[in-house]
Amino acid sequence: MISVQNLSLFVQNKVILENINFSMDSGLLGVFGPNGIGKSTLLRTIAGHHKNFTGDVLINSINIRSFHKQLLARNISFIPQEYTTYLDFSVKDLTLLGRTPYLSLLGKYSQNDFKIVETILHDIGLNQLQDRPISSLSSGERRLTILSMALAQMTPIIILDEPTNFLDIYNTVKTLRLLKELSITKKKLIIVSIHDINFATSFFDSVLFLCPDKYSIFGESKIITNEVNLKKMFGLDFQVIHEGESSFFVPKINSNT
Amino acid sequence: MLGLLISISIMSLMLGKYQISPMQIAAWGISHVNTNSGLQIKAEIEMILSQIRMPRILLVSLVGAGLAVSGTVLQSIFRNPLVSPYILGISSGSAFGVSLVILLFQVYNPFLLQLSAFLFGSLSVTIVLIASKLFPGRDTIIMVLTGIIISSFFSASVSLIQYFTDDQKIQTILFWTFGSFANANWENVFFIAPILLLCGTLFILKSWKLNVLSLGEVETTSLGLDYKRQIFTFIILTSIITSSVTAVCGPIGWVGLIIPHIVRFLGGSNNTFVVPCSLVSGAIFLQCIDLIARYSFPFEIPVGIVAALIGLPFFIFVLIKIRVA
Repeated sequence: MISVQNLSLFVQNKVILENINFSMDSGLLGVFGPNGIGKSTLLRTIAGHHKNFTGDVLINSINIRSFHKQLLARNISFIPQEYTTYLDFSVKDLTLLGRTPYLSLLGKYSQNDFKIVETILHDIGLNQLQDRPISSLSSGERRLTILSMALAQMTPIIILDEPTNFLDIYNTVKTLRLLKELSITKKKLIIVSIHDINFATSFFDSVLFLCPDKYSIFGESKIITNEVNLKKMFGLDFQVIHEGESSFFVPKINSNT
Repeated sequence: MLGLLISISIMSLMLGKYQISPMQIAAWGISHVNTNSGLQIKAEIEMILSQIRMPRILLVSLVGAGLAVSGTVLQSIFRNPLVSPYILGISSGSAFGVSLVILLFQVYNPFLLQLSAFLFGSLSVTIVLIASKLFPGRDTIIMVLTGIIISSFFSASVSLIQYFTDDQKIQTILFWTFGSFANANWENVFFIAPILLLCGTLFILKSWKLNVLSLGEVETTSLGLDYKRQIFTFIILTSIITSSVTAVCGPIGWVGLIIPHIVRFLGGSNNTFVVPCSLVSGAIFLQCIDLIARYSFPFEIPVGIVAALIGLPFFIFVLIKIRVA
């Protein structure tokens, strides 16, 4: 469970984030907003990487500031937007690194660690590739390996910064489906920043819209995602197409607003 | 691999200006293990093996291991395949320290030499670390940049010292900056051995952390490790190794750059494997280089020169491999 209260962040006296509020138990939360609005900064702050914020971030009612680094890593796993590995690990070795927060001083993996990693690689469908070096994988498979590593942390909260960036539509849908499934079967809270608003109603339980002028909207996806709020966020008019329970939004390109 | 190291060592014991047969070495070995064996060893063989070749082999192995493992560590934490112990300005700092002692003192004092090399080597790292602290967020690039600038500053200072000293001292400094094991003795071995045993053991125990650190700052923090503190510890340890090695035998390049690549190329990138293997491979590699340096020419040439000559083809090979990967 995460609860964000009056979160503001200043960098060199410049306001980056102002007065953000939301709270959620489990499920899939989508963070939307135009480029440069502070989505990545928000996710990093919640993940505990920025210290100089005001307001509170509570995890299971405990303030994030009071967490020790290792304990925090057992509660939140974070996948940054660009994940570059310098060393060419095998899929299995990289996934095992997700067990780092549970290791003792000598860094010996236990039987349990190996079992957890094996199960995850099997669930994600990477077990055939586990001994391959990551340099030999496609970018989709590489993303899945990094997700496996985050899953190996066994955290109740997973934060992903634009996990579908640069993926084709097949892999985008596959990734979102996988995250949705994880949020349901494992009762995890998964926070994702993403650009394509057309996935908002079909995949996400809740959404957080970051709008210009330091203004944010949070709520149930099917209620909040509408052309009025989208106009506030992007300054564009949208045409709405309803398809069963989901809604899809097409920008009106010729309107001069 | 350890077997390879031992065979190379025995070969080094045999070969040289004075050839010694395997039988004579075996006899010499037995007579040292079992003093009551009654084997007669010629005085000159005893002298060459115990006082010249044995300390040299040990020193070469220790230096090779130390430089190679430092390279492995630095490449992992800086996430840069072209980094070696020389990037932080340690060796140039130490070179300056040694030159300064040779300039200021008439008598040859090995302890003072080593102390000064260590102090100036550490001074370089300290400056680099302070500079990088001034630019949070961009510390890696600033660190490498400062290291390069400090290197050229100290190199210039060494040249300046050479400019102002007499011919005999210039020769001493020059010979030292080539990098050589010609003056290896037990004193040097006893100076380097404890440092290397301690740092080497620590590196092996901490090798799993290098895997995490190689992912970068954000990822390391996400996995619950204190990034800054870990990086700092590793840099201090590599500085200690490099500056003490440089103090004893001068700057020897390439080992720290090449060995980590070869080990990773052959056995994968996992540092729990790469760290111990680069210790052993570094020792083997430098032994081979040293053997070439003292045996393949009618007179001995400094090992640093041989290393650089052999290093270039290796370096090109590494560059090509990176481009392909």
